[in-house]
Amino acid sequence: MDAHKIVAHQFRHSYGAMVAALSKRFGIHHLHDIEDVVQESLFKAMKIWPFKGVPVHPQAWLIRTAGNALIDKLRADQRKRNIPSTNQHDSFEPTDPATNETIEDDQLQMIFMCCHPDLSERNQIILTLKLVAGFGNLEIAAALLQKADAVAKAYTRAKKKIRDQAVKLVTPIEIGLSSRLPIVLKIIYLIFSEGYRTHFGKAPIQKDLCYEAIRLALLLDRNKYCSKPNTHALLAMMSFHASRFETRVDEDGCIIDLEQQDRSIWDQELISIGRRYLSKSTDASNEPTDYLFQAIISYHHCKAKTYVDTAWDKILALYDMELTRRYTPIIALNRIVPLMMAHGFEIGLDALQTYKNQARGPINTLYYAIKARLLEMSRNIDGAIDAYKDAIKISDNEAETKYLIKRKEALLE
Amino acid sequence: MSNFLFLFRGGDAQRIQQSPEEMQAHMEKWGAWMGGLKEAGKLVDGLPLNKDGKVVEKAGDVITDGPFAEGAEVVGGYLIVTADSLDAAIEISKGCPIYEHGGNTEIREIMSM
Repeated sequence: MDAHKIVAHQFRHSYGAMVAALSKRFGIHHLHDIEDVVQESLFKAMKIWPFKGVPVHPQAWLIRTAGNALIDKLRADQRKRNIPSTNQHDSFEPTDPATNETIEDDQLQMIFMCCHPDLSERNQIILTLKLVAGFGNLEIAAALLQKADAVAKAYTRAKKKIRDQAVKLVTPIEIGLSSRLPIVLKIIYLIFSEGYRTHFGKAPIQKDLCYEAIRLALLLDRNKYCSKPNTHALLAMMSFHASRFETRVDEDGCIIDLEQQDRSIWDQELISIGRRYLSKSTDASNEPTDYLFQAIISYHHCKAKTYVDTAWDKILALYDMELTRRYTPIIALNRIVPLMMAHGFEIGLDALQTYKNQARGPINTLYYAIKARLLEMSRNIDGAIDAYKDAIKISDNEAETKYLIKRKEALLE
Repeated sequence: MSNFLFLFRGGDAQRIQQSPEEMQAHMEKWGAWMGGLKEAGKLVDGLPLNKDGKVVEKAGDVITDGPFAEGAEVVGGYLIVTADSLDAAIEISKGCPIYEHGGNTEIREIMSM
C-alpha cells in the first residue's frame, strides 16, 4: 500500500489506540513516557512508510513499535537508577493480538479515566481530545475556541494530576460509570461537533471524526451502565446529522445549506438508526435530556420534504421549551431561524434587534448571516449585502467564508 | 541519463512537534511525491536514516557523535533518482515536501564508470 493511500485520520486514531493500550499494560503513571514513545512511533512511521510502504496492519505496527520503545526506555531508566532489570517485558506483543475489540475496551477505559471528577470539566475535555481522540494542541484550541497556549498549559496541569493520582484513577464501575456518563457524552458531542463544523484542516467535513464520535457512543451503548436515554439521544442526533454528510458540501468545498441540499441522497439508513435511538431515548424517560432537543430538531429536518415544508412551528416550540429549560444566548440566536420561517421576516427582524439589545450574546458570523437572510427576505438587498460583508469579515472558517461570499455574490447579480 | 543522490537534511525538530493529523498529512505528501517518481520510473532507491550515528576518524581512535548529530544538519534520508541532468534533478527536487519545515536537499551526481 502506498503511503498516501492510508485511511484518513489513521495517525490520530492510532494515537488514542496506542496511549490506551500502553496505559493499560504499563500503567497510567508512565503517561509522560507513553506520550513520548507514541509521538516517536508516529514520527518513525512518517519517515519510513513513504519509503517502504504502509504495513498491512498499520495500527498494530504502531502499537508494537511504541510498546518496544517504552520497554527500552523503562529499562534504560532502571539501569540509570541501578535497579536490576526485572526482565518483565522482553518485547512488546499486545496481549490479545491487537484485536479491535481489545483496543476499543482500552479506549473506553481511557475516556472514563480522562473524565475523572477530580479534574475540571474543561480539563477532562482537553485530556480526552488529546489522549483518546489524538488531537494536537492547536486542533483542541480550535475545537474549544480557546488559545493554543492556554490549552497547552491546562493539558500539562491536567496530565500532572492524572499522574499524581495514578493509583486512584482506576476505571470506576457501576455507579461510578453512570455518574461520569454526562461528561463522557459531552466530550463525544464535542468530538462530533468539531468534525461537523470543520474548524480545522482542508477537508470541509472531517467525517471520520464524526464517525469516531458515533463509534465511541456505540461503544458506551454496549455497556449496560452507559446505555441511558442521554446516550441514545446523542446517538440519534449524531446519526441524523451524519445522514446529510454527502449533501453538505459541493465539489469546490463550498457549504451547501439545508435549503439547497439534495434531500434524495440523505442517508436513509443513518436516519432510521437515528429514529431507533430517538424512540429508545424518549421511551425510557419523559424527562428532557441534553441532546434530545437537538435530536428532535434534526429529526424534523430529516423528515421534511423541502426546506419550506419543514415543521418550523414545531421546531420553534422546541426552541421555546429549551430556552425555558436552560437559557443560553446561542440558543436564543438560533431560534430566530425557525421564527422567521414560521412567522416571517418582520417578526424575525424584531427578534434579532431584541437579541442585540438584551441577550448579551455574541455578535458573531451566525448573527450577521441570520441578519442577511432576514434582509434578503424583506428585499433589502443592499442591507443584506452589507450584513454578508460583516459576516465574511469575522468568519474564521474557510468553508463558511466561501459560502458567505457565494451568497453575497448571488445578490449582486 | 545519470543517477543523482538526494540527501535530505533538517526539519525533523519541527516535524516531531506536529500533531498526529499533521504528521500523517506530511507523510502522505512524501508518499505522493515518491509514488509519482516511482511511476515515472525515476526512483532508483532510497531509505530513511536513524538520527543516531557516529563519526569515526583516525581508524577508530576518534569516535564522536558527529558534527551533524543535532539540529538542522541531520541527514534524515536519501534517494537515488535518475534524471537527464543536474538541472532536471533540481527540478524534480522542487516537489519534495522537505522544504515545509526548513529542511533542504543536497543533490550530487553519482559518478558513472
